[in-house]
Amino acid sequence: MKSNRILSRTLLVGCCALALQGLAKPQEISNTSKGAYGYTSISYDSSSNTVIGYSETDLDASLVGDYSPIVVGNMYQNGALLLTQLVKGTDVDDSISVTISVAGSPGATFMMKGTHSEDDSYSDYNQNGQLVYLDPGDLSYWLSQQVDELWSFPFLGDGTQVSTRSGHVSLGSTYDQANLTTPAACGDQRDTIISEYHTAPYTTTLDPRCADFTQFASTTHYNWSNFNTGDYSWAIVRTTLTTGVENVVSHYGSAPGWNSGYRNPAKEYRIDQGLGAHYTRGSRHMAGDAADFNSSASTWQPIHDAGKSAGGCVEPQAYQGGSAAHVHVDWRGQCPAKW
Amino acid sequence: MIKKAAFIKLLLIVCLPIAVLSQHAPSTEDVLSRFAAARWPDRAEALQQLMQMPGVLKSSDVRDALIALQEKENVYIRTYDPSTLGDVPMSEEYGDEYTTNLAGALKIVADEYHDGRAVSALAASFYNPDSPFASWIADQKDAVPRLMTMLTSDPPVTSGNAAYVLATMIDRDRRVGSKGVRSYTVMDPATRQRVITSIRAALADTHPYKRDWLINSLLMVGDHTDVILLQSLAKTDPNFDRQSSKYWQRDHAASAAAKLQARLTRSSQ
Repeated sequence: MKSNRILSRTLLVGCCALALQGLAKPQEISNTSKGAYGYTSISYDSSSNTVIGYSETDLDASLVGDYSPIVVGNMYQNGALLLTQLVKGTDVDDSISVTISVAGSPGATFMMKGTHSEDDSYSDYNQNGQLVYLDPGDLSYWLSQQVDELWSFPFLGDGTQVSTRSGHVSLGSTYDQANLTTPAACGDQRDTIISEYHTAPYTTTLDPRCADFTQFASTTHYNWSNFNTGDYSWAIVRTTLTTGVENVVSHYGSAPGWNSGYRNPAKEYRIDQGLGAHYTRGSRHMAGDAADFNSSASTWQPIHDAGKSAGGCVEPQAYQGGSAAHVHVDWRGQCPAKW
Repeated sequence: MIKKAAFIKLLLIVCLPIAVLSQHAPSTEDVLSRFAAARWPDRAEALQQLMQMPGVLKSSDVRDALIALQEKENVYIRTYDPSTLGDVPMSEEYGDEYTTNLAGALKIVADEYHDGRAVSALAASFYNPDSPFASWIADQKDAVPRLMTMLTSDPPVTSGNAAYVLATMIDRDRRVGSKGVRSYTVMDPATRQRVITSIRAALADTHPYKRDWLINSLLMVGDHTDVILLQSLAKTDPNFDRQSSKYWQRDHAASAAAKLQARLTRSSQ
């Protein structure tokens, strides 16, 4: 009997020792979260002048079900906090993210800081005034959480109470950050033109910068009033266009009459609306690499040939409603497959 | 507690996407029904939505609808009248984005599902006859009957385009097996002869664009008869451009006649 009691006590101690291996060990407070990781990014959408910060917290797959991911995003502009957002997942989430969008300002530095942590999903267990909780992933820095003891057993016996935690028990955190500086303003009429590219109803798929504009362009056969058919004294005139049109002249044998060059978005919109046409939001005329040459039934094909020989993309006549009044040539690089 | 969590997780994984999808995503049928829209921007938007649906081309209904849409555009663009009110006129966007996207989808139908109807519909669409797209058409046997019909019955622009693509086919048929040329023929000898005869006959067309492409076609596939024809055209072509004070088509024909003569001389040596 005595040997049986010794055996049973030995087994009990052994079992307890095994069970205790699942408990979190008291650790020092740290900024590093053991189970949560993540990343943070920041980007600038010039079409809407919006700075977009993104941060994501991910949990190890083994922790899903017992813990909930938490992410806190902080957006700063030139060091000053603009916006904070906290998102907490549930214990079925293996990741959670936060997106913060703010209006961009020219030449400003924005920073998105993301803080990643996880929250123990289990309720507290109050045993005779002593607060305990379960931490099966062994993630706790519990001494900092005003928790008296770790708990890893099913609720047993009388006098025990299960309570809902008033606040979350953070199990440590980690953070990262990303920065960007928005493009500086041009300080002149170009800011107005650039804003047209991003403003309804002129919104385009293009994204020009100050350095893309010029106030002078001229070639042997064409001058500034040919290249700039927009509303302003600034225009985008790509060197591929100026070189390309002179090559067209060489292949054609003379300078075809000029119909249209650069158009700012409002001008393009007016032309399309005037024709009753759908607004061409990706028009190469707004990109500064397109020319429309005057043509006739006789000259359409020779100008088409010259445009192709000059490395240009030539719009099929079929898309001009049977009209041979102009030949559209642009130097966008990769031409549409049917051109 | 863990069991409860797992159950909630399962519920969310299974039910949430179904609930979200059933509330917001349009069905394939909804999207296809919008192909019938009178305004082309609406058809273009429906196509864009359709192509964002993963694996959608596996459905024969979708493939049929795309072919029907291309045929609809083929009619639309041939009957298009810029002065017509009540419709949105074409613009660069029509050619650049919409019809390019449609052609991209149908090219998959043709290449991966070997559907000759897709090739035929694409052959009748609008494109430059010297474009990469036209070069692809020139390798498709299923395009021959449609191009033949276009050559003889279409308006001048598409008729001229068809002539040049058919000439490209004949040229490649003759050079089958050469480097960079396909390994199969797309036309029998009788069809080839019919094409050349039709091209010669069409030289009398009044539209200079069409004559330009017929001249280019004869330069590619012509013989000594065509040298004489081109030399004659170089003297008699009626189109005079006042602005440049030039007979462009005469110059074009003269240049083509000289090049063709030189090529035939080289090949007979």
